[in-house]
Amino acid sequence: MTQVNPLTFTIALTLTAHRYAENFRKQQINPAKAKQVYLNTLAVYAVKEYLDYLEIETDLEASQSWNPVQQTLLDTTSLKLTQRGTLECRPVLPWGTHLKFPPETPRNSAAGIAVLLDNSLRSATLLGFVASIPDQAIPLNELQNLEQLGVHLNTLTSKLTIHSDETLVTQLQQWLETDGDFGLWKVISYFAESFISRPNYVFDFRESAKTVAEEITGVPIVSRSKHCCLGQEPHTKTVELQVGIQKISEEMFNIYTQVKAMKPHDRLPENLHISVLDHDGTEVMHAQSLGTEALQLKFSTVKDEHFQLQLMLDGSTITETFIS
Amino acid sequence: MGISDTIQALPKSKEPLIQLVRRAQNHAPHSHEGHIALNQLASEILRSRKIGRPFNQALLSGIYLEICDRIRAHLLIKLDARINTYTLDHPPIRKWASNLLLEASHDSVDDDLLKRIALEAQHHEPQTLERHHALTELVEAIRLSDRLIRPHRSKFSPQFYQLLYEEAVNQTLTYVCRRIETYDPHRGKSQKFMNWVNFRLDKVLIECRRTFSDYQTQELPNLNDLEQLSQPPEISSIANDVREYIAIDPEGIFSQTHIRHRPDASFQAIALARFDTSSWEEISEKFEIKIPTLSSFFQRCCQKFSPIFKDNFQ
Repeated sequence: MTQVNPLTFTIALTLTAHRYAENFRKQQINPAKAKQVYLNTLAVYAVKEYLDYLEIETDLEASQSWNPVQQTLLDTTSLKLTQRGTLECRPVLPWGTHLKFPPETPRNSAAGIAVLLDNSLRSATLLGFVASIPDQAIPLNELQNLEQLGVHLNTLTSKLTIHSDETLVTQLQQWLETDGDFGLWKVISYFAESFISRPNYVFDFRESAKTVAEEITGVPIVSRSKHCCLGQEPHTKTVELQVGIQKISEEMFNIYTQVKAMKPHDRLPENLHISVLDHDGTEVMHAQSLGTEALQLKFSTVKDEHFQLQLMLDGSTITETFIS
Repeated sequence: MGISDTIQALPKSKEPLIQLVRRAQNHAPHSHEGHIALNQLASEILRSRKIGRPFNQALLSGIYLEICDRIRAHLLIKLDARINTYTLDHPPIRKWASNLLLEASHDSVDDDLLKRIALEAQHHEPQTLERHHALTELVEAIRLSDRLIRPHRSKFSPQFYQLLYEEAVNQTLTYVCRRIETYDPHRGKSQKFMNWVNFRLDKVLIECRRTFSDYQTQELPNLNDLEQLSQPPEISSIANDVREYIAIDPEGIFSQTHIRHRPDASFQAIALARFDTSSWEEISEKFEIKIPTLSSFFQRCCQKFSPIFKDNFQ
């Protein structure tokens, strides 16, 4: 008797919603963009109405999706919650089967909601949500139950960032020069073989230089690992962050990075993201766990180059800063 | 009109309703097996209910259990009356089931029940999950109850009235949720909950009429219409202004902000490419930079430059 299908919630798209949509649409010249803005506006407004019923405060004026300049530049559906970051409100068309996010979707949004629009555009149905923004499209029947949205938002008080002390920069040169542990970074020896034999994601930090740092064998990869605790209480997860540095020349290094699940888990949480940021804080590389055993990134750097590794899960972020 | 209508019907071998309907039809109406079969069918249909749902995946209890029991009781009566006259596919089984559920839900909701759901909501602190659940149930119950009045109908054309009315209902429901504290069950002669709601609806409808008078002759576009809507002349468009501003780049920031080691992959270059309707795939090919790197860089720039755009355009 308690068995229920996931909740869907239908909102009538009425004069206010359409008025906003039309006002925004009129400002675009490109017909495809104009249509995109119209539909995005309806979707965002539908979610706002639903959140009104839940007494969750939203701020349309401050939302990226409500800003004509941002609408012009991006396919944006970000709705600002006064207290908990942003939500992505993606329109799904009547024949749609998946919830998709365009590449320019900010990855630190609290959740993504699927809003099914009907042909008449007079009603919108909230189908469910995803707890973080995925790279791939999600089938509509794999969404989380809308009834859990409140639970999910409650666990995100704000975008929690656990920073390693900003001044705490890990000097990778020291790893090459000295044996032993460095603070929380413990020596590991098994890293090299397991990585090279199954590289999953291989990127070149310098996208421009087509010289992919070679798989150099014979030169040791000096590695250490650290435990990182991510996620929100009480659902925190601990993963192992492994970093290896390999000297190619006096000036160039290969950096190997692997994030691994820790026992008793043999898979990483699905919504775990890792990013590599350059010294400006610009993201140059990114990967998401899809429930794999490990995430691996490889890139090359020059001497004295600053970079950061950022791990993200459920609104919490851990940033590790390095100099190579 | 719900999701069950828009999702493809399952193949007959997988649709659980079919088995259950057949089984119910195969037994004598008031036999023991018939009774069990009807109950199983009712349980399956009840899975799609919008009210009387368990709170936070726990067991059904309290007022939600009561609502579910009521709906079940009404549903069984209707099933009993109609099961043997239903022919599979006429109408399609999900539609048949969802209509029955709608009727049963409607029959279950009276003013007293609405009042008690409202009081349940008041009972919990704002922003709590219990309160969210109660308010969602309240909104759905009001909509299902058919107890919202339709005032001032004769003053407007049917089409315009429909638009105005839906807008007014939306605003009223928002008011009910956000001002649930102000509902006083002891106020008024008859002390009916819906009087409080309908009083508000009446006021809101009149306000809406003033706000939206320009829509009296307009129609709202549907999905197909959107393709055909005309675009304004280029002069007035903000899209054009933004493009020009980025192209001119008075401070030089847009061309100087670029992806690391790629001065050619500047915000300006990427933005102009996107204005030329290049897709991310095309831009990625052109610069030989992966899409996530491009899009993430671009998105961060848009946020970073947002105050500059605001100063110049808003």
